[in-house]
Formats: sequence, C-alpha cells, structure tokens
Amino acid sequence: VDRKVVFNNTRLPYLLLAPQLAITMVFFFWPAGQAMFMSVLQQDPFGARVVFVGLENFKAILADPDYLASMWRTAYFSLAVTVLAMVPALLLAVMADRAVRWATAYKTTLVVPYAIAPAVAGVLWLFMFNPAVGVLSWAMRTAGFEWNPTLDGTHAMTLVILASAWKQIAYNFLFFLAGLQSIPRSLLEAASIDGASESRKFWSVVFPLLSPTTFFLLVVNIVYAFFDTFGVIHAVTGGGPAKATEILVYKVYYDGVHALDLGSSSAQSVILMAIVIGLTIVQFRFIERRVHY
Amino acid sequence: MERNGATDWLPHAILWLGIVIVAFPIYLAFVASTLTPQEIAQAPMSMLPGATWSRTTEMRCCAAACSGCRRR
Repeated sequence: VDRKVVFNNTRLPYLLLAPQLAITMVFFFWPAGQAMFMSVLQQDPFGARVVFVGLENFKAILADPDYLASMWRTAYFSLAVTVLAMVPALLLAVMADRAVRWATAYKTTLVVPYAIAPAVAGVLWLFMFNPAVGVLSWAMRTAGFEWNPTLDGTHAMTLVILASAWKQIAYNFLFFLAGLQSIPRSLLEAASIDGASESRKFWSVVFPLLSPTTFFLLVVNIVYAFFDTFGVIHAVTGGGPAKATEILVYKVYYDGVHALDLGSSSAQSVILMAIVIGLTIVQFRFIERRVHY
Repeated sequence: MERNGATDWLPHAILWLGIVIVAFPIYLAFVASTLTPQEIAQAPMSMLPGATWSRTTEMRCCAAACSGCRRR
C-alpha cells in the first residue's frame, strides 16, 4: 500500500504565494526591468526626446574616471563599514553573553541604535563632529588636530564610515548574541574540563559554531553598506567635499535626480545591481562552503 | 562553568566602554534638546542637561497649536 501523502489541490499553493509574488513583481522586477530598459536609452533633461543608444551608456560610464574612482571608494567604504560594524558587535556580544549581572540592562542599552533611522544617525554624528559646534571636534582641536570634514575628504569619509558602522553595531550585536546563546553549553563545559583557556575556547569552539551567523551578517552588512548608507551620506556630506564620499548608490541618485542624466543613472544602477548579485553569489558559493551548519 | 575572580570585571568594563560609545551620540542629542541655540553654539556645549527642555517643548507645542489656529 502506498502511504505517501499527496496534496491534491494544485491551485491553492499558487494562490497562497500570490501576495508575496505580487510584491516582488511590483517592487523589484518592475523597477529593475524599467532601469534596464532606460539604461539603453538616452534622453534630454526635459524628457522630450528619447533615443535608443544600445550599450553606449555603459561604455561611457566604464570609461569615466569619476565612475571608477567611485567604485574604489565604495569598495573600501563597504569593507570598512562591515569590519567596524561586525568586530565590535562580536566582542560586545561575547562579553554580554559572559556577564551574568545586569545582562538585560546591557543588552537593552546596546540595542537602542537599531531603532534610529540612517539619516538621523548621520545627523547625530554630524552634530558631534561639526567643525563649529561639535563637541568632539572641539576636543580634537584642543588636542591640536585640525579636524574639518567639510573641507577634508578623508575626514568626511571617516565620519560617514563611523556613523554607518555605529548604526549597524546594534543589529549585529543582536544576531551575534542570539547565535552565542544557541551554542550548546555542554561543548563549552567539555572544553573547560579539557583545560582550554578562554581564548582557546572562543577560537576552537565558539567561533566555528558561530560561523553561520557570521556569514549571514557578512552578506547583510555588505548590502547595507552598498545601499542603506545612502541616508547617512545624504545627511552628513551630500557626497562631498569634492565627491570624496560619493559611493556608487549616491552617484546613481546624483546623476539621475540632480544631473538629470537618466540613461547614465540607469546604466549605473544596473551595474550596481549586477555587483551586489555577483557579491552575494560569490559569498554563497565560496564562503558558505567553509561554514559549519 | 569556572569562575575566576581576577577576570570577572573585564566583561563589565568592555560592556561599559561599548555602552559609552553606542549611547553617547544619543545622550548628546538629548542634552542639546535642553539647551538654547546660544548655549549650543558656544563650543564646547554643556555636557549636562540645561533648563530649557520644558520651554523648548512648550514652544514647539504652541507653534503647532497656533498654526492650527490660523488655519481654522
């Protein structure tokens, strides 16, 4: 007797999936398709004339030194944000996991920045580091360091990196803490009985078991640095000074909305989409293999 | 798990340091909300809340209420 259970209704599963599929279609595939369509067109700033130009927009971008500079800027910006958001979060999560007294108070306080919008996070940091009224820029000036993110590109970049990483620490902390709490206590006890030191326990037991969480956060943080930091940059520097903080997503916005070069802006957004899809595939194909589940 | 008293304070010290870094911008925004623009502009501004919190809030509320009056 075949006892396999078969769900006979073929229409219901599609019906149940329909809302999610509709959302994905309307808010992802449609705009993405529109961007791809626009990227092969060229139009005048008033939208009166549209000409099909094939891949000319892409050729123009990839030959543009400004675009290539923005690409490198994005690479080190996202690397810096990811490292600065993940390493302190892991350290704090390990400590919060170890602390017994006041553990809840620590956790609650550290999670607060998660509730702050990127643009507001940017404004908070701008307020501290504003060359005229900022408390910390005053402290640096007193210490003899001439700090001015409105004139110096490196200072501006440092500021947006710190603000973006600061906002993401809370999110990473939350996930690392959940990951740490799901590590079986028996393994840690066994390691203790074997006489392992704290750091040995961390690198040989905790860190490998935490790798799925770390991997997940790596993907999320890189995507965050590529896209969601727009609000921070827009609020703090507006891409300046002299384009020093103009990462790819900000350039897409500026070239499309302010410079009104819609063809180039669309081509850039298509390239940006390809980069992020490519990065995600690389992460899943090659890094995931080294991850223990 | 074993407990050795010597390193027991270390997690707390690191967590406090983390809290100071994470909460400082938010604390500063709160303090600034209790100061007058003049007090903020004289760098460095006070690190402790000032007396104008209620007044600032009152002004905001009044402004909102008045704009409502005018519209009506």
